[in-house]
Amino acid sequence: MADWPTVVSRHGQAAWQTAYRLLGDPDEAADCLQEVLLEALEISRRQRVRHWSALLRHLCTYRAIDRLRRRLRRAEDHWDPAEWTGVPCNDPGPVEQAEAAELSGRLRRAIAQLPPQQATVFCLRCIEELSYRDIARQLGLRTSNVGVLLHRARARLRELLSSAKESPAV
Amino acid sequence: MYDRKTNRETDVVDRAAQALRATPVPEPPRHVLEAVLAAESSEAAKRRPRTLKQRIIEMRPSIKAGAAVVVLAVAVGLWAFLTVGGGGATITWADVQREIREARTLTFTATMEQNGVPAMVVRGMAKGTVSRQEMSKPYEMIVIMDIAKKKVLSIETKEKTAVLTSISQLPEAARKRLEEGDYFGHLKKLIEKAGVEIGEKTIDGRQAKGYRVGKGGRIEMTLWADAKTGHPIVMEFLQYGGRVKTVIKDFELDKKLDDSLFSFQPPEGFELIKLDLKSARTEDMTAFLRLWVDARKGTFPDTLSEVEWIKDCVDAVDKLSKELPKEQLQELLETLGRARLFLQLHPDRYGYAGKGVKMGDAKTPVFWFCPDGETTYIVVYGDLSTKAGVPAKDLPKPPATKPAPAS
Repeated sequence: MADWPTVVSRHGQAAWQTAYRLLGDPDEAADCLQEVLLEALEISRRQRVRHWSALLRHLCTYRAIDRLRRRLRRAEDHWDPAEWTGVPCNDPGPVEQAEAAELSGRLRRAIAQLPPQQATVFCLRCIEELSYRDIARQLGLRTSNVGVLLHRARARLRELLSSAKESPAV
Repeated sequence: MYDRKTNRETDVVDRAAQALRATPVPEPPRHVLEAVLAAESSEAAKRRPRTLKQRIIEMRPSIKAGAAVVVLAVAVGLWAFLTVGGGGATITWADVQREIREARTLTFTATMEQNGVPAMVVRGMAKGTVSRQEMSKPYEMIVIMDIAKKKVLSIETKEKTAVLTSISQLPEAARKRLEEGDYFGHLKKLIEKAGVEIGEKTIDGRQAKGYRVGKGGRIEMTLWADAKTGHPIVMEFLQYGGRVKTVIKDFELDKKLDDSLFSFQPPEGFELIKLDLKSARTEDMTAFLRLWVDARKGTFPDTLSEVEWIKDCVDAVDKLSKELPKEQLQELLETLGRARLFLQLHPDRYGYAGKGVKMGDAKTPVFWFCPDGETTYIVVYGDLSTKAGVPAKDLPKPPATKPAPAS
């Protein structure tokens, strides 16, 4: 097994970033990070981990999407828009900042509505910017399948983001 | 054709992804990082990473049963080199020859070292064609062999498992290799060979005379015998350019050995597993390779050494042993046993070039072997398809070096 403190210090930041960006909530992201790091520790006891960064970002993405989906189910009962748009963006102007935060929130909500595998592929490619090959390796897919899933995810997200724009109550 | 609508919509997805990526991220919560580090350190005290030896020791009984077949090969391997050649000339150690030739029983202690590190200690005893080897870690097994009756019993005392292996269905050539496990017989043959006298020295207060056989060859043996009686004191074997050294001492000749030491009746309360060892078939080899490649997530191993196998596959086989019904597990163990024993017994009849090859590569030959009783080879490709009847001259080029077998 790799030296665990080194893994945490070297890759913990990237894993945290993944969880935080997707969830947009510090407490929930912290829970997600802890869950993922402990899961990765268990994995490393069973098998050799070659790409810690990719593994942690994959696990964080997967767990964060799971949490987004649970959040969506709760939101359908009692929707709180702030839950999806609570994190401000880094843009300089207040208008752009508000727009970016609103767009991020809508994307989180749309991701939660995708089939899990499509959502994971989209996040790993378009948010985490992993290569097709790394995504394929992490998910046990062919690179061509990654392309297909990504294409479907993007098409569905277009629909969801467009309809969300036209129908802000969603 | 430019599609304004699609372009705008694509931008929505990309802009949204960009916005998410640009989300400012605070520092990771220290309490989380500290918690996971603490979780690991408290666990680590209890569960250090397992060493290779520990992995073998911690195998489930059923996996040890599969390993027993390999232990059999290791047991044979320990003594196979006693066939080292020498000249046929008369030697000066007639007393040594007589001592051993006329003995009815033999006991000894063999210590195997790899690169100067003790790897295994074997307490051995022999009576006629029956032998018993009590192996230390990593195997921790007792192996009883009756060459005349073509059977081997491997007893794992900690796990209370006994594996009875029949070798009667093995082809003649393979069986002969196994019969080299009759080390008492081999020792008797060895002392008929010529040795070069290398001088005298004192060992444990006894004046000893030394003889060397096989110098400069694949295996070199030195025997130190009591200068007065010819009783053997120490035998040393060097293999693989001196990397593997076996020291045999504590020789006792004609010691009374109870028949119960060589009994094939498993101790009471032990689970008995029977394996009928037949010749390795093509399906055995491909199943063996498939399991290994699966355990490595689609890549062929660098070598087919026993050490690599244990590193890569112990957990995978252990997992299967929990999932498979007993009959299928038995079949799996026999399949793996046949394949691994073939590799152990016939290093000169197979070749491997799978390093770095991905599963599914139908054009690259990864493994080829000449089955028992055949004169041509079967070539296995990266997609595990096979081609039979390949003459030796048409075989792929083997890798430059073949790894030393695990000791």
